[in-house]
Amino acid sequence: MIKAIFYSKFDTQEGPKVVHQVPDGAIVPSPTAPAQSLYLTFSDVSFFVIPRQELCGNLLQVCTNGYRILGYPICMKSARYDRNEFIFNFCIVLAEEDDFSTYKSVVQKIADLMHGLEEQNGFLSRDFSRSGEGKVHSLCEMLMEDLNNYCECMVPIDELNTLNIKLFPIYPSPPQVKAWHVPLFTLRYQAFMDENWDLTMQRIVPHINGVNSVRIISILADTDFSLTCRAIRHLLYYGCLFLLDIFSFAAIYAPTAQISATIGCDEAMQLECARYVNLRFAPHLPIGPSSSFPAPLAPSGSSTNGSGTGPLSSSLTDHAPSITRDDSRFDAEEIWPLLGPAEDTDDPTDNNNNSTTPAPSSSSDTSTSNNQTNALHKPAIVDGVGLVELYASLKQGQSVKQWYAQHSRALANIDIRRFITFGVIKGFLYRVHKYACATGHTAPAPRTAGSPFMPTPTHTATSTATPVATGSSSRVTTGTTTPYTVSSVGDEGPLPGRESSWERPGSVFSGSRNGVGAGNFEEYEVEEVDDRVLERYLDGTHCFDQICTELELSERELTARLKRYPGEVLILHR
Amino acid sequence: MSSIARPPDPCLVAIILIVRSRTGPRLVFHYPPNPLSENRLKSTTKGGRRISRTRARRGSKNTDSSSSDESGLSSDDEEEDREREKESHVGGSSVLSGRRASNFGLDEHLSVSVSTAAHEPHRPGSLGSGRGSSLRKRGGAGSDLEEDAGTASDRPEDGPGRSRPPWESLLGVPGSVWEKLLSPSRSWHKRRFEIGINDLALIGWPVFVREDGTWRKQRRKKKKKPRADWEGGELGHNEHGEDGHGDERFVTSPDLGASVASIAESLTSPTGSKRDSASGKSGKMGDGGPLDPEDKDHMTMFNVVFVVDPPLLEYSMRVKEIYENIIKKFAKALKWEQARNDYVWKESQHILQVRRRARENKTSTHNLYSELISQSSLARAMYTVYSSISASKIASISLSPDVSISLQIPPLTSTPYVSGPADKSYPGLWLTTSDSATPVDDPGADGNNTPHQVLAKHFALLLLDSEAAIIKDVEASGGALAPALAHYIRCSKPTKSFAQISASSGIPLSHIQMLSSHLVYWRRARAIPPIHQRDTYIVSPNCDLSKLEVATIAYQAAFPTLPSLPKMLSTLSGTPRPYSNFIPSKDHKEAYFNILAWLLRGGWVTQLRTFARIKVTPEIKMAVEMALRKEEVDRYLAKGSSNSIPVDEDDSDDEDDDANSSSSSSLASHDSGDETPMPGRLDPHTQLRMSHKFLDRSTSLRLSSFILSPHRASPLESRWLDEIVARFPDHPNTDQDELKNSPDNDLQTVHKKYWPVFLKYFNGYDAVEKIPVRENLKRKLVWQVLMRLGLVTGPLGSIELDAREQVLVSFRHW
Repeated sequence: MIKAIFYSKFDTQEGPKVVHQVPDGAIVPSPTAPAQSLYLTFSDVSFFVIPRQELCGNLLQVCTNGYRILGYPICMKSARYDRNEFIFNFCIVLAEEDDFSTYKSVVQKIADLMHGLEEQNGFLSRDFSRSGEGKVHSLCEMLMEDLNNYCECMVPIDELNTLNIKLFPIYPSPPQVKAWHVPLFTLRYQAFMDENWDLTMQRIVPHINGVNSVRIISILADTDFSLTCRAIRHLLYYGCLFLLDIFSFAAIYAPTAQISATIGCDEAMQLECARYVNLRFAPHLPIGPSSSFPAPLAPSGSSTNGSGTGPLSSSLTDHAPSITRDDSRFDAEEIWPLLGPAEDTDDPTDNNNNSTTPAPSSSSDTSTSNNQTNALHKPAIVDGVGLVELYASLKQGQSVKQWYAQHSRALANIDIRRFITFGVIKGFLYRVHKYACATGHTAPAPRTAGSPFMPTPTHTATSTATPVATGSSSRVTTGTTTPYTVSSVGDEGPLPGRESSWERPGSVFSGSRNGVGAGNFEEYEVEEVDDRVLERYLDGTHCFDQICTELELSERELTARLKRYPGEVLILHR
Repeated sequence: MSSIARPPDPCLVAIILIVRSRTGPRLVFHYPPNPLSENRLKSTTKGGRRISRTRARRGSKNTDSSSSDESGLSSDDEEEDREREKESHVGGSSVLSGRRASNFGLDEHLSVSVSTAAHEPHRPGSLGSGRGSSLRKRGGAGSDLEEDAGTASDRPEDGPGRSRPPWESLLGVPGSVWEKLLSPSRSWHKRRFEIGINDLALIGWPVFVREDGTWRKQRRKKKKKPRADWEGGELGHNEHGEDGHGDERFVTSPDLGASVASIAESLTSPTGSKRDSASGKSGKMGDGGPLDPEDKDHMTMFNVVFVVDPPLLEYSMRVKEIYENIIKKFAKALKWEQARNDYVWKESQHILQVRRRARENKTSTHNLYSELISQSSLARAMYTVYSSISASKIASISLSPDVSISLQIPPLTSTPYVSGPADKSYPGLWLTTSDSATPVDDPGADGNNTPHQVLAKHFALLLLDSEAAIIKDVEASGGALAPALAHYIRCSKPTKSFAQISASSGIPLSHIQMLSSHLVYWRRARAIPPIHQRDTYIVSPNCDLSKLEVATIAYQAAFPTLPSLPKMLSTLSGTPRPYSNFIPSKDHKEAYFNILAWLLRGGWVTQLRTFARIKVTPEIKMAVEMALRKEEVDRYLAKGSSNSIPVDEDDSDDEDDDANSSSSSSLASHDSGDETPMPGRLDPHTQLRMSHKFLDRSTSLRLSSFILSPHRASPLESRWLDEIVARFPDHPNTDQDELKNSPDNDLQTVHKKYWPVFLKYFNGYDAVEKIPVRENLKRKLVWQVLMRLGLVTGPLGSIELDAREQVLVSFRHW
């Protein structure tokens, strides 16, 4: 919020002098507004408002008396001026603690414009109007009013010149986008995209669905990989996207410290989660839930949503998830996912209770059974606490698959991928990445000799991967429970001959890695990744997602390959 | 190791000393000689950003070299020459500016002037919103004076005929400009003086001479209470000569000063008298210095200005950090010394003299600076502050043989957040929530979230260096605290809490807490929950794997015969298990604790802790609801029948009020629990909110919920809790023998006894690992009770669980 704007110049008789000020009497005493108390003592800051020539043409700021003054002094030399020079400065006064970053460009732009106007027709030097009157004063007045009220202004100055200013918020620069990141829209891109958009952007946007990795997006959209990354970074900058990890059933997720403070106590978030994961509402447009990352960690998303000045903010706020269509007939209770039929769960639960690790499942089962007993006339549901218990039962060292097996009944009507994604987006789940580290020692256990039959070049376009049939991803467990995941994989599956070398390289990366139990693995010709290629990834700094994406392997294949690596390879989970 | 110094980015560019005397302001000294030029590159490790900035600068140097030459001139004749020269410049640039007014030329112009820099113009809203170069010509055409501030000021040196030596200008601007700019009016006396030039911020804490010509308020000296003077002195640290705490590390921050002093006094009795005489001496000198009657020139102001270039988005945070921690303290120390013996003015005159001589002898900048730094303690102090702080280290400076201070920007020591792909991360930083104050923390010692606070007594001290190395440093310092510190460090163990150490060693707890917070503040140690073999540790999601190779070698040297670092991490990678599972035998225990301490120190692992909340099932809710309704009915009936008896009515009215308030608040809590959720986050779903509004009580009764803060339970929640306890099985089951060893072998007494004790920990924010330590209970007993309550973290053994007892939902994180 601008507190004051003033125009100051160097007067050959009086020295530095405030010519116009808005509000009146804010900077120097004014006979017309005697009641106005001064914001600051002008003589304290005049050294900076009208500085030595050497400092003119720089953006200067000074703090005094709780105010921050931004100015851009201009020194013009011409024979037409007294002493052959004219020094002026349009200053903006802000509260000292306010964010001033957006105003830096404003000050600079005003200075540039005035410089030009003065050069054209002596706009400033011929302005002999009294303080508080005249064109320059009304310009200051409009500027302050419009910027404070509308964050933008358009002030016509004469038939040739107009002062156009808009305040843009400044966001932190977005992170580097990697091939194995999975972008997910936070809003409906259809709402704001038009045909004037960048061509790469237009091509990639339909493939951003929270499932496809950046690499796959670039393949599907047939766009250059680096351009794809740049386009995605651009969307990230404006908070239109989240970056996720590649979801697979072999992946491990665990709660972060935020779980107690977010879904663990926020019933609204539990509802939001239920709505997002419940298969009943399975939408066809993947739209991320709103962000509630802790403030320091969520720079883009939340801030964009909050500020009204973001160029995209209008479209950010009014996106409507597709479920609204049949909201009207929802009973409030129907929001909660239903439990699966009781028979399903008996086996795993019983097994668990007998085995040594009955931990999470037993507790959730008690809750569900309680639900059942209490609401006999209603179908048993997974309520908010049930969801939290499910999240809490994710842990280090346990893959999604194992977790699913223990909770299949509660998860019967829950989209697993969305369930995980929701937690990652909200910041209360994190992906436990795997890293491989070759120690240089010989491997402890005897292995198959496994010499690479066909060493392949790495960075050429040819795929070294073994494409796995998409069919393998629809395993028994996932087929019925996560139609969304499966269907999206299936949809993207057939790539009309874009990649010639191998049938469907695209499916290798995200989709078919669900297929841990790929049965028809051997049907395909296996090309081994060269040891030397692999070695570069085994220093413990490359996560499995990266290795798999770059070497075009499935995680299962990678694990198998690592077993054949000459020398000990340790797997770290982090 | 890696996490010790993960400090905030100091963004320090230069330090400037300005003094003003009757003859006007003088730029006495600045360090480094050529800020933001090549020499900066060497001293910094932050590759990308700095390099790009330097490149931008070089680029502008190449293109604007002619104009930068001129910036070195300032004699009048030459100035006129320059101005004439400028006139010709104006022609060119005014064309540009004309174009720019019509909204085109800006970027074009920039791309010309910074052509060689692969550097996006700094415009808000663009992707390249990083920092631009600092004193870069913004848009160039703004001023007719094409001085390019960024150009290294060593240029004039090349030309033989220059009248000004290179060190007279700074950042491309002649010293005289800085002198004027940085000597503000008296209204800034002892206030934050902050100005900005493009992306640079210049911050100082100017000190003016008092009206009476002294630098310090004359205090009435109370000889009998010397410490009052000392404590209240504007110089907050305890090291101004009197104490003889020479060494940097044992000079505490102002906040700690008092406590250090008191403890030092109680530990070493002679100090008191020593200080007494010393402060008397200092007072005398303070009187003597400024009141010197000789008619020489006097200093009227000095201003140490720190030039920083914080990223735009972190501006206020960075500026505050360096101002509070460095600038103010450094200037206060100078003020103290100035008041004591005219230090700043004497040193300034000395420096100016050396500079004058150097100009006559045409000494090179390099030689001048090495001469100044070796000869003047003030120049050396500024040099030390610059080089240490810009490297995020502790700056230990001594202004005179008996005055030394240590300055630092306290580093970040831990974070509760694990960073996603889109977040800024500090790999290697200790990932934990254990340092934040939590509701159950003792009210006296509320956590250790800021180092100045007293550390909670249930924490333990983890040294960040080898014990021997730290003790060596402590003893070398020879300060008053040294013996106490050394003794404490020898007693300290990361497996024992402060309270336990205090009990075993006999050092009073308050001393231990003070000494440890001292070590923590000065980056020698970290306060952690005591290491225990039954606790679980996982590979930290925030560990810095890029350091794995280096760390493996260091680890190998420390533990040559034990499993390697990758092996250890790999072992800790699987399903979380108590650390004892990894210790092969009793003989290895000590070694494995050492390994664990090593891993914790480097941020490789973090403790996986368990947090719990109480779940209220619909069954419980329904039972309470029934009971409430029944009570209501009963009361109604009672009221109806006892209408005629006034005394009773009063009673029943009271009851009624109570009951009403409780039931109405129960309603309220229902509503607030189920209805408030929507705003903001769920805006689009207005429809749903509508339907939710009609949610009746019975619906919410069919859903389970958590009791968020059991120690502040609402009336309804209290009823639920009572119901839960009432449902605990009355008859001990067959597993009674499990608890045979414990004194309470009756299950019911176990619950009765511990449920109220444990209850307050079940808030989701207090780790249940705290319970045994804080409540001083046997770990095994606590975990047996917790397991019965539904907290399952590992193998159960033979305990049979009863669904009625399973009321906890547990979360495991750090």
